[in-house]
Amino acid sequence: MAQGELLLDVQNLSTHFNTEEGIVRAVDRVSFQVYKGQTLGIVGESGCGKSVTAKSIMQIVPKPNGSIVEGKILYYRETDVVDIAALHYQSQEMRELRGNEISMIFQEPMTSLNPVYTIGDQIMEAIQLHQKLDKQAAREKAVEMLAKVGIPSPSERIDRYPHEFSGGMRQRVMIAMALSCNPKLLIADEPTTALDVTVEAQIINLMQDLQDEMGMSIIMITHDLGVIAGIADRVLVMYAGWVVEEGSTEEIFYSAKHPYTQALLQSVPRIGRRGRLNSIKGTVPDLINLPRGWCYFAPRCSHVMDICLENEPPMCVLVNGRRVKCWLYQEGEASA
Amino acid sequence: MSSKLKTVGRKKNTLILVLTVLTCALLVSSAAVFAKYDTYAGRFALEEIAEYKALPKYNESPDLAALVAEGKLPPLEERLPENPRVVKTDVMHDGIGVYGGVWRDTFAVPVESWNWGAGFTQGWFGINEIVQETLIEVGPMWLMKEPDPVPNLATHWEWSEDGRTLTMHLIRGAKWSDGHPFTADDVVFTYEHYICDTNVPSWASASNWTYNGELTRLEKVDDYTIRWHFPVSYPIDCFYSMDYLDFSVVPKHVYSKFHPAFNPEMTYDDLLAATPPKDLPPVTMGPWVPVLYEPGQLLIMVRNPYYWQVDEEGNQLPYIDEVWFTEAQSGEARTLNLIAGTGDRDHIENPQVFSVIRQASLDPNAHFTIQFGSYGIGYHLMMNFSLNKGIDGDEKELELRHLFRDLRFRQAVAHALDRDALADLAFPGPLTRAWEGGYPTGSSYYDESVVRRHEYNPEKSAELLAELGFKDTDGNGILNWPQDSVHAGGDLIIELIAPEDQAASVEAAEFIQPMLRSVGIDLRVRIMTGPVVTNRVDSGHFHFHIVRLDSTTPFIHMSLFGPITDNSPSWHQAGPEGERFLMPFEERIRELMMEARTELDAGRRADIFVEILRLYTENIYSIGLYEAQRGLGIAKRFRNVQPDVPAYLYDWLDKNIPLQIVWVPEEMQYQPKFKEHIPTAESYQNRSWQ
Amino acid sequence: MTSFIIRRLLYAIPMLVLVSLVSFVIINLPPGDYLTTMRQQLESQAGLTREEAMAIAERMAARYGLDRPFMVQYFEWIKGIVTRGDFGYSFHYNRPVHEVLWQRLGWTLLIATTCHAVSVGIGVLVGIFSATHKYSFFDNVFTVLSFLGLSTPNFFLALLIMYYLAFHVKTHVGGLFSTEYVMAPWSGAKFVDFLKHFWVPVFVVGLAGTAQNMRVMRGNLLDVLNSQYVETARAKGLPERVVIFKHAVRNAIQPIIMYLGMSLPFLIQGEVIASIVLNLPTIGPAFHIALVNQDMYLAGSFLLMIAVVLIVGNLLADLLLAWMDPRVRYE
Repeated sequence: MAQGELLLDVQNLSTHFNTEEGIVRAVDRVSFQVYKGQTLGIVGESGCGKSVTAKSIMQIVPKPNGSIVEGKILYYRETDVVDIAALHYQSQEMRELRGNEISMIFQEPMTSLNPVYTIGDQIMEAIQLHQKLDKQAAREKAVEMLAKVGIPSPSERIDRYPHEFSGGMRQRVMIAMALSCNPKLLIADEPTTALDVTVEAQIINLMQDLQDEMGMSIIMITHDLGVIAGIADRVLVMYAGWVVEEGSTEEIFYSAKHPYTQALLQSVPRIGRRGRLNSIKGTVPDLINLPRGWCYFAPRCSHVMDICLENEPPMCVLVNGRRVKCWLYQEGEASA
Repeated sequence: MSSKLKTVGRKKNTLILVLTVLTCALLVSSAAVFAKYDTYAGRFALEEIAEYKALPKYNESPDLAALVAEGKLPPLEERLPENPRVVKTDVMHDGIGVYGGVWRDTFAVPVESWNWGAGFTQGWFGINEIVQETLIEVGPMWLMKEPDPVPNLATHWEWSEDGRTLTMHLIRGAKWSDGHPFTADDVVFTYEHYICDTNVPSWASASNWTYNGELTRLEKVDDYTIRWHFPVSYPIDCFYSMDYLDFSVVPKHVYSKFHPAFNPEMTYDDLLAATPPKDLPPVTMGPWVPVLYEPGQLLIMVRNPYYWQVDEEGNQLPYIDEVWFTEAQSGEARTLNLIAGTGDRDHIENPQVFSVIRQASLDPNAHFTIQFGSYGIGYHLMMNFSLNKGIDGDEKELELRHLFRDLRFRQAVAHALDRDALADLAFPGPLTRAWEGGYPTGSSYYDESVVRRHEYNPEKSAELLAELGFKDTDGNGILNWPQDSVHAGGDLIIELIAPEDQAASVEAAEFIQPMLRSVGIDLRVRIMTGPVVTNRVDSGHFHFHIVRLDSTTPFIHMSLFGPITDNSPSWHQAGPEGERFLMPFEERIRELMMEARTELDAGRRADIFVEILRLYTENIYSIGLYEAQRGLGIAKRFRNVQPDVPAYLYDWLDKNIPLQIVWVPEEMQYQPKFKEHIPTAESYQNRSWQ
Repeated sequence: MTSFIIRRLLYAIPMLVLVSLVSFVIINLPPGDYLTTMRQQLESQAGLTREEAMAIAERMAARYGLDRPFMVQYFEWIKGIVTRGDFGYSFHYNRPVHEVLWQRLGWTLLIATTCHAVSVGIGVLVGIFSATHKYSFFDNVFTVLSFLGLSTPNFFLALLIMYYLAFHVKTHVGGLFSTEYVMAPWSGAKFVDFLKHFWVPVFVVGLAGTAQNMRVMRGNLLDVLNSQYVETARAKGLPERVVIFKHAVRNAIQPIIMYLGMSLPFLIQGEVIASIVLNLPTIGPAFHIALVNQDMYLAGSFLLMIAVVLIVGNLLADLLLAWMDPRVRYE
């Protein structure tokens, strides 16, 4: 897909957590771009830093331990560019972006909505916060959004409580809430992980339809490669706080460069194939006080070399925008 | 020239000399008129305490004078009786007083009703004593050389030749606080329709006035004279049925409106419901009148404009303007208030609290001081002598009772107790000391020479017990009954009960236990709530019982000391049919008590009670443990509180001083705040009895 | 919902009958009755002899039917309550039971509701502060204070304060007003005087409650702040203040609100021991005196009242829960 205009430019973002035991570099010098109308998928194991990256963009990194320590998050608006990383997380400016121009939906639909308020209240809250509409108009907008996400009898269901909806329905409500202010960027943090497969497909389709209709960009965070295949234009692979590979969806799936990406693709169970699953040997390293100067994937890598354990691999930019962080490759190399 | 000077000088010297002599004479004479004693107890004859006479001039408090000027009260001369009761300056430690000030006090029992004749309390703690007035008083008897009842509303009396008629004269022209005259009608009404009316739960009843099954008759001779017609000769103790509570006079013009005998529309329930606590001000003859009451919080009394007592200079009493009683939930509040300086009086009876109060009184800024009277409280241990009450057919129980009745056993127990240690354990120091039993040493009938002492001698104790046949046969340290007894070799186990709300009794019980254990008696101490203990004692189901004795007046409270009735003393009650097996010395004590009841002569009476004391201690009727001084905490600013006035002897402090002569120097007075409530005719209009 | 309420109330009736019977039995278990206490009082206070006191007691027994069999007395009492609303007669206070209760109820409710309001108000606010400033200096200070408050028995605290007030500050013991203000009509000065006395019971009785609420609120809020929906609320761009109070607190406060309903009986009892120590004109001390003196109609009525309040309180707590939490519904 052709590149549209740049919407979000994350440059060298590092988000650290200051725990009692030591520093956790959850996001370590991560860079990527998101273009208008495009979907960027971020994939990786649990604990690789994908959620924290998303939260950094939203400036809702858990306090008081977490904070953005370096980097820029440039967000391109109609008339100007704002560096989100430079804003204070409670500032008026940031809050005007959050939920308004950049929205987020979360993994657990069962707990993502406040049980003591109706879904209507919660959707209208976002609407009334960011758009100067009165109660009546906000309610109409909310009903409209509910209809858009496929909630039956929306004008009646709007007064129901979250516990009266199923998981899939709740996720639709979350989407309705997130999109109620027409954001430019929707960040979806594992939105379908907690749903069953058929519902998952519905939700993904819904998101794509809405993307087409509203022209927004999506950052889809998931560990499910099937979802990536379905919705993402470009893919970012993360490991232990690093971006280890970036490319278009086709490039990643058909010619993965990084040994980790390859191993991930290998480990997906296929229908019809029996026998033991291919797992990646070893475990993700403990991120607390992790020393620098080596490739974090090395202990598990099947292509490991001596240099991997002595030096941190640089991020190699291959031709046509492919990036790989691995000693196997060199800058400017053509992709196979 | 010089001779002239010399003449002048000599004249000057003479002048000085004359002046000096005159001044000395003046001082001496005034000293003779007003003497300040160190002790007042037992010093005075009746005429030195009070008399009834008209004085040439009277004065009243400026507040009352102001009301007279406004026409709200009649002039003083019209309010006082013809011959007011004059309290003599002899008993006033600081002489004639000035008007003004407040007496602040605390009480812990809610006001039940102003209808005191029907057995209701107005709060105790001194309130009852203030509002109730009686024919005679026993309180001031502590001042007398030869204690005898003191005239109050009754001014004097004569016995007939045969001793069956007593003619009493009442104070003439005195008025109730609402201005209504006090007459013999009130007295007769109280006697016939309260005391003798079985439907009215008065404090005293017809049985107080019944002799040999016949009821005394009271006759009204005229408005100020009554005549008692007794079925027997010279029933001297009748005076003790004319005192506080027993014969607090009830105003007829108020309560006859509620009494069924006078008002057919009323029932006895209506009478008992009359004049509830908020029906203020009540009609009283006391020095102060209750005017405001906030239940649970505060009771305010102001001076009674019609009070019928004066001092020797004609000043209408009382001196103090107002009495404020704070209502608290428990008696401890009175002590706390004394210490905090927000209360003016407390009675110190509990050895446990002595030191705290004393400590507070030593502070140079303390507003109160402590005075200790004579030894008036005793703790004693009694053994159940009854052979037919509380036995319920238990042979072992009966055997124990027989054991208690054996003098050697009582001697053994007495010798096993270290009373000095008990007194010291209760409170180290002179406030408590060892006591043999009978009357506390503060009693006017106490005579050291007749008291048989049983000193601490555990060996003697062991000897006596062995003599009785007890031996520790099984080596467990407890003596065993002889084999041929009902207990047949069992351990000598005795139960001692004590009420948990008397901390001193509980403590004493616990200290005695090891003392008796060391001579081989297994004493089981059982502490129970007051009502439960009372129950056990009433029904005769007990072995040993420790209790506090509050009385030093055996003549008035005979039943605390001897078998004068079927149910006294509490440790030897008669059985269900009324039969009792008194021991010889008990019979003798009873005889002596019956004699004393009709003995006119105070001296002979005293002899009788001294003899009773001898019998009591010789036979160890009950075992005295220790006695304590009853203390008084009183605000320093009060004048006329005699240094040795007892908090309680024949009656409480309020009647002993008495309260109406207490005054405060002007610069130390608390400001009264309720002057507008001094009762006038208006306060008594449209009341519940009109 | 209505049928639920009606059913609950119907269940309450046999419960109340049982409570009244059991309390009546227990009160009369110790040997003797009110008259024994009365006699003691007469002997010690009035200096009467045992015979005189006994005679008076006997007359009283006849008058109030205390000499009738126990079950007869019970049925008469219940009959009186059900047919006339007559809770019997208090011997100690010499007036009908309902008068005694009524008089003291006002102060009891005032103290209790103030204590509860203060303890919930302060406890919740401090708890919120603690949770949102976890492990800060003030959070640690509050934590220490709350443990102290929770573990100090309140009668001990009351005694300490009484001692301090009586021995060092030298204030008046007894009641809620200084002498000059008791009889006076309400005014600004009287109100100030009232506050000067009132802070003591509120402090003593409310301290433990405040500490408890603070701990509970802090814990609950910390839990809730980790919830997903709190993150959702933040992600919507709401100011932090709104996130905390509208979303987080609203959920975290539920157990505290529920507990309020169940603590209704303690409102009435008004913290007996502290009230006794502080000499307050409330129901607690009267209850205690009634039990000790075996003033049986008064004590029985108290217990009955507490049972009723407990049942009503539980019902209210359940209703409150349903109102607060839409996930809870009764058929």
